Amino acid sequence: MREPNAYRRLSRKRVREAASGYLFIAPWAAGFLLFTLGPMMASAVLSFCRYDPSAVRGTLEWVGLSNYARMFSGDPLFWKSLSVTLRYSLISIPLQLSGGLALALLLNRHVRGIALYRTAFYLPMVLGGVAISLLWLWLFSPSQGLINIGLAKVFDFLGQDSAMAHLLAWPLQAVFGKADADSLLPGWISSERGALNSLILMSCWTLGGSMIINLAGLQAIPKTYYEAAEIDGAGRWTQFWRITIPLLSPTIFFNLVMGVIGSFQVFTQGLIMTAGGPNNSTCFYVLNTYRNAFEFFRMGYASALAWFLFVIILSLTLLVVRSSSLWVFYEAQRR
Amino acid sequence: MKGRARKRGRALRRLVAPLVTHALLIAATVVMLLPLAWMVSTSLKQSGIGLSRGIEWLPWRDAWTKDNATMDVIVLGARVAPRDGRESVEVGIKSLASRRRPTTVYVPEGSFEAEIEAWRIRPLTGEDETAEARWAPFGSVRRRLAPEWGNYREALEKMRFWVCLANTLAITFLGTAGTLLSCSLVAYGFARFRFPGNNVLFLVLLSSMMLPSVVTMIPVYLLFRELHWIDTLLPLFAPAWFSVNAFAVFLFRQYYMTLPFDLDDAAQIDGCSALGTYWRVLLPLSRPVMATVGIFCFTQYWLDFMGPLIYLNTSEKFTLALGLYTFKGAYTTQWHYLMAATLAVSLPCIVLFFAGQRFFVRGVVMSGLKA
Amino acid sequence: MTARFERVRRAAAAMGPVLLYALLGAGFVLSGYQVWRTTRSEAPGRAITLDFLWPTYTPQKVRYGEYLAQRYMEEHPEVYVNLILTPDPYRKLQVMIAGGTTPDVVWMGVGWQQFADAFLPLDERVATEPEVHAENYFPRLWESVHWRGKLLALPSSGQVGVIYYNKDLFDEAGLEYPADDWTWDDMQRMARALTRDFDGDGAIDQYGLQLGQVYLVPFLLYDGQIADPEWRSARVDSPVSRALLDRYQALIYEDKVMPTPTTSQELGMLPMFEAGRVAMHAASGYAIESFRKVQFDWDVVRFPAFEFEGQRYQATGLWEEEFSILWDTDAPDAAWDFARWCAGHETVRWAALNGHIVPGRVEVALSDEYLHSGRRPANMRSFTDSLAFAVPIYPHPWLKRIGIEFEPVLERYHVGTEGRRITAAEALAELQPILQKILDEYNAEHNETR
Repeated sequence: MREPNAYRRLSRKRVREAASGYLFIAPWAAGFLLFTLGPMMASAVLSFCRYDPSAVRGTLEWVGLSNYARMFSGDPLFWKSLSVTLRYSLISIPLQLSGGLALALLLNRHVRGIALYRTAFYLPMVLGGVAISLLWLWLFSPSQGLINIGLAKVFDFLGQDSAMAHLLAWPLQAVFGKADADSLLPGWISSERGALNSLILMSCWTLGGSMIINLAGLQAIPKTYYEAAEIDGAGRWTQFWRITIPLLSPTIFFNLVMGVIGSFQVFTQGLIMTAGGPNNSTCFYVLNTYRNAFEFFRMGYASALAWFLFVIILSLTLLVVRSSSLWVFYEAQRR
Repeated sequence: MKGRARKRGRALRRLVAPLVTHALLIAATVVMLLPLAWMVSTSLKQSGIGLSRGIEWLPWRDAWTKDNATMDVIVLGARVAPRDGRESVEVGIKSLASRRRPTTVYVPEGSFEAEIEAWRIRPLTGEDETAEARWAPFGSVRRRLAPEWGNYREALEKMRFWVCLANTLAITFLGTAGTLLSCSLVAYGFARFRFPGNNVLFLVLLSSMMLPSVVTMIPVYLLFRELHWIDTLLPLFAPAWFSVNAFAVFLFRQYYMTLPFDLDDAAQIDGCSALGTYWRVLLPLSRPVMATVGIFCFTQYWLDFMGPLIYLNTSEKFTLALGLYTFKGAYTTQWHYLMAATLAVSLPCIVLFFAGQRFFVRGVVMSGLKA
Repeated sequence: MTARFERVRRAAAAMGPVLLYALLGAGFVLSGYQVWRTTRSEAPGRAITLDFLWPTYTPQKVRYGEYLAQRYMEEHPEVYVNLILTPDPYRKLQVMIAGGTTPDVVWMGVGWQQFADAFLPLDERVATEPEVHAENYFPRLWESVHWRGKLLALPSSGQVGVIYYNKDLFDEAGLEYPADDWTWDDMQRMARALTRDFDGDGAIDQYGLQLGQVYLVPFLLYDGQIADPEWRSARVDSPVSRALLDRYQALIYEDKVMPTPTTSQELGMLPMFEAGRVAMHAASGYAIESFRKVQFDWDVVRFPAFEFEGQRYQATGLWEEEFSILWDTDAPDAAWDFARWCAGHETVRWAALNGHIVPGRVEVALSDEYLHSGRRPANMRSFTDSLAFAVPIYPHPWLKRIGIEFEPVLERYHVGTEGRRITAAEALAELQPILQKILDEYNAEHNETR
């Protein structure tokens, strides 16, 4: 896309094209200047200040870089929360990418009742709010939850001391912790080892979101490519790797970038379901930021934390964007 | 020989593949819907019963009857025992309604083993009559389905559903319409035109999503205060018309970049202006992505809690998401109302998705053009 | 037939876009109307407007707020009370303060201290005020609306934790009902007698006792305070707290007369009591309305005393409700009059008799019409009696931080991880430096800025 020399000799046509381009992005420019830039700059300034949002008489005080210094020296939760968020992102991004794609492929066909299936998978996105968090709290509860009651039945069937039961329990407990010292059941969100992984598992319930994005992307792949491949005798597997993946790469690129941006800022479930616990094992980076802003009344420090995260996300996004020329294939290459 | 085998294999595959697909889909769907089923069942239960009986998928109500008197009970357990020379079931019950302590009643009819199974009652294991329970043969326990449909009516009434609905509809409609229109236009600009700074500006657009909203919340509030928009619906949807939804712009852009430039060139040769190309050529082709963004936006505006919490003051302007919190008090949660109201609130989203998902089919124009 | 069908189909297809545009148009018109309708502001036509922040925790709570606003406006034609409703008054107030749109008068509950810097001290006004004065309120409650010697709110309600007990279950077990002067030993004995496993499957069907995690805090405070009155030095670790917390842990894990915290959380504490699965249940007055619907007989009794080294200690949680005036109100006199009225005799009486609050005013709480309304519980006095020894939970501006930093330690003591728990002594030893650090930081910041 980029042609550095092209701009130097701007032909008339190019000038008109550029003008049209600017005209089309004008609404965004206006909106950005009006609604986004100001608040972002304000928080950047705040990150060099001490500011208590709960006090009426303004306590805005310039403190220089000390908020940034505090991150590395004065906040025991900074590294902990950063590692929690990194772990979450490292697991959930690939999971979301592959899971969403698999679901979309599964649901991208003309079978009877496909509308119902698609709706079922999108449903979790729609049932938002407090009820869902309460529901998952119950599902995950070690002794009364649906999951563990079901598992207990399985273990009873296999025999509590049988090798099979232990073989089944071992990987589950390795990932999701133990319910109790001598129990075969996993502890889910109530165990330090399992809490974060449980929240990741829970995020899979809302794969419907990335599913419909992939589904929309799949519609843009012309059917003729597959027909041609069929004639050439290419198998399903080859078709997937040679046609679907390259032609879907703009969508995958989108999901990857949004995955990075989104997963690094995840915190709501950590706040509602586990309140950061047990023992800070689900204290996400932004949860720490949120608490500093609104519960510890250190808005300045919270802003510094947020801008540090901004830099991390921006660099990762740049990395993805730079690498995209290697693997993202756009149909609309200009000749 | 080989050809025939392959043909037979293909025929077999054609027969089996749909079955496998359906089995897979149904299994996955059941898993996805299990929590929903539990929500529905909770929404139909009596207040207070909530979770105290453990897991029950249906809104059962057990009543103990003796001499025309009936009372609601909780069934603790049951066992098969010989009684008067016949095999019968003894059920341990606990009254919800009287001063009676846990007691065991004799159920004189029916297929008992099956009934225990059907009731999902834990069998009583106590060998003999302990001091704990009085094994007295009297009365009978009947289990019947008693869904409390009234929960829905009461829940909607209590959260002032219709007032909230009008506001939510207005916000959602205007917000979604604004996003679809402005974001697709802006994305068209980014995807189809070469101008200095295209890539940099696009990165700036993406970067507006990278700062946690936790720290921009108060500056944004100050901004809307200066505009005198506090306690109006405006802050909730007006920014959408200025394409502030970077997610949507990005998605549109990615989609447009997969459409071949031949389309634009052809339209321009036919005398279409840039805007005309967008309106006549790209827009009709972008139905799937329109549907995607539309569904996302609709859901987002419909469920938004933080925005209304911060900007709305008076109850005439409340949205459904705020109304839902009526049942999650600071001290107690009214489960049956909460579930009923949540289901009622999400119903329009479900219907919309069901209707909208049919746009996820390959555009007719598109395959025609490529062929 | 097919041709006709085809014609209809074509007509429908042609109508499609028309219908779509009509729908869109209607959507714009209706939404626009709704926005316009809710945006135009009606001038109240009164000289003074008071913005009044109120929570929407329950439909009843909303009614209480609406009553206050309307009733006051009836009596004061010059004042318009603008009721600002919100599901989360703390967050809302924070944003409103930071955003410079502060209300004039606010309802506040536990944790109001976080806004200590934003509230107007009321000591001078109270000094010349006959109806709203220290003597009108229970001392512990009056104390709880102070921070560092300044009166920052007017209390209306003081919820306290009491023990609700199921009389039917006591009758069955042949036990005497708990008396007002009972002790922890009595409670433990009764709880043991009331814990049952009916079907002998090893799972307990009926628990003797249930004390929620929130009551851990009053237990920490049993000999008074977790810090000195000025909140400068932490005093979490005391022999009596240690002994009491040991006992508490034993009730769950040794005697097994109390459900584990996980079980309580999963089954819901209130539903367990309502279903007769718990004989004694600690809760505040918020539970009354819900329990009045159950059909077994129940009553309340105050928390038992804890006997330790020849002394009796008694404490329970206090959840106050109060009205505060913001520092930068435009109409301090009108705001004061309204807040005074909200915490005054007439309104507190109305709210108490309608089941909205546990009255913080002595004359209302001890009045015959309140104590003997003929509705359950019979022993209504337990609530007012408990106010004598009730303590607020972490009454410090940084209470959220205290709560958040205490939580992992309390959890390891209370729930444990993978079946391992720390002892009371270990927990208290860990809590002590945590609290001291928080107090030091607060004091350092707040001495600099003052």
